Amino acid sequence: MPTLRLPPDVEAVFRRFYTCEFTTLARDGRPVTWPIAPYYYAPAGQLVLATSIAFPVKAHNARRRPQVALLFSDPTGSGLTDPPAVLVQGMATVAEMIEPAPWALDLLRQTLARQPAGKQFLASRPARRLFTFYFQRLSITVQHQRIRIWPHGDFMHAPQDVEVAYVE
Amino acid sequence: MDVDGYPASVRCTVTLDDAAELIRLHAVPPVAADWRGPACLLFHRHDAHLEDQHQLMLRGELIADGATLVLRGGTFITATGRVDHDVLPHAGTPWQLLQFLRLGRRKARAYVAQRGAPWPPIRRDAGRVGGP
Repeated sequence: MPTLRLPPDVEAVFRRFYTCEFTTLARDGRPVTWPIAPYYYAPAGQLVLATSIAFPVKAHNARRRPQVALLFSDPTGSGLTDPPAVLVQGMATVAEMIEPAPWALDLLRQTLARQPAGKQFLASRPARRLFTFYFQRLSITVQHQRIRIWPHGDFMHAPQDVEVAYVE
Repeated sequence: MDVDGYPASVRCTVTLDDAAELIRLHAVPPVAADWRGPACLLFHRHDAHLEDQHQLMLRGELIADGATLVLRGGTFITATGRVDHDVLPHAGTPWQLLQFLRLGRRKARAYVAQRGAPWPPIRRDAGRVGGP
C-alpha cells in the first residue's frame, strides 16, 4: 500500500490537530466550510473524516463533487508549538461505514483521548441506545493532490508547496 | 476555488460592518487577494477537550472594496439551525445532551428515509469514530 512521504512538521499537524476546516462544494457550486475532526491514516497516506448520518451534508457534497479542501489552522489542544498552517486539496471518496474499517479502532482511541467526555457516553448502555445515530456513520477519505503550508501559521506570507509523493 | 476545481481556504481577521450589512476582511492573505465570487466564512472554536464548541458559517459573495475584500449578503448557518446562538450541544451538560439527542435523531431519520432502506445493525467492533 503506498504511503505518503511528508515533512515531519506537516505530518505532526495531520496527526495532532483536533480539528480542521473542511470545504466541500454544494450543488450550486458554492463552497461550504465546516469544522471536523480529522484522522491521519498513515499506512495509506490518507486523511479520513467520519460524520454521523445525522450531519451528512458534507458527505453528500463530496460524493457529488469529490474535489475538497482541508485547512489545518487551529492548533488548540494539539500540544504543538508554532506549527505551520496546512492546506490540503484532494479527492474524496465517501462510504457508509457498515463494515469496520482498518483504521476505525485507532480513530476511536484518538477520539476518546481528545474528548474524554465521550468515555462516559460510550460506557452507558442507555446512551448508546438513545444516540444510535452517533454510531451510524459515513466516512470521507481524502487522497492528497496538493499540500500548501504557511510556516508559523502566518497567512500574510505566500504559501509553500509541499511535494505530494506517495511511496511504496 | 482554484483553476483546477479545488476549493481553497485561509484564516483571516474580519469585522462586522453593521451599517453596511457586510463583513470586512482585514489584511487579506496574499494568496486570497484575487478571490472573488461565492465564498463562505466559518467561525468556530473549541477547548482543549473538544468541548465548548461554537460553530457559525456565513455564506455570501466576496467582492473587492478598495484595497480590501468584503463578504456581502447571503445566509448564516449554525450547527443546530438555531439563530440565537452558535453553541454545538454536546456532552457539556445534560440539557445540551438532550438538545443534541433530539437534533441528531430527527436528522438521522431524514437520512434513512432518503436512503430508502434501514441502516444495518451496528457491529460492536465497528466503533464510534470522529466528531459529529
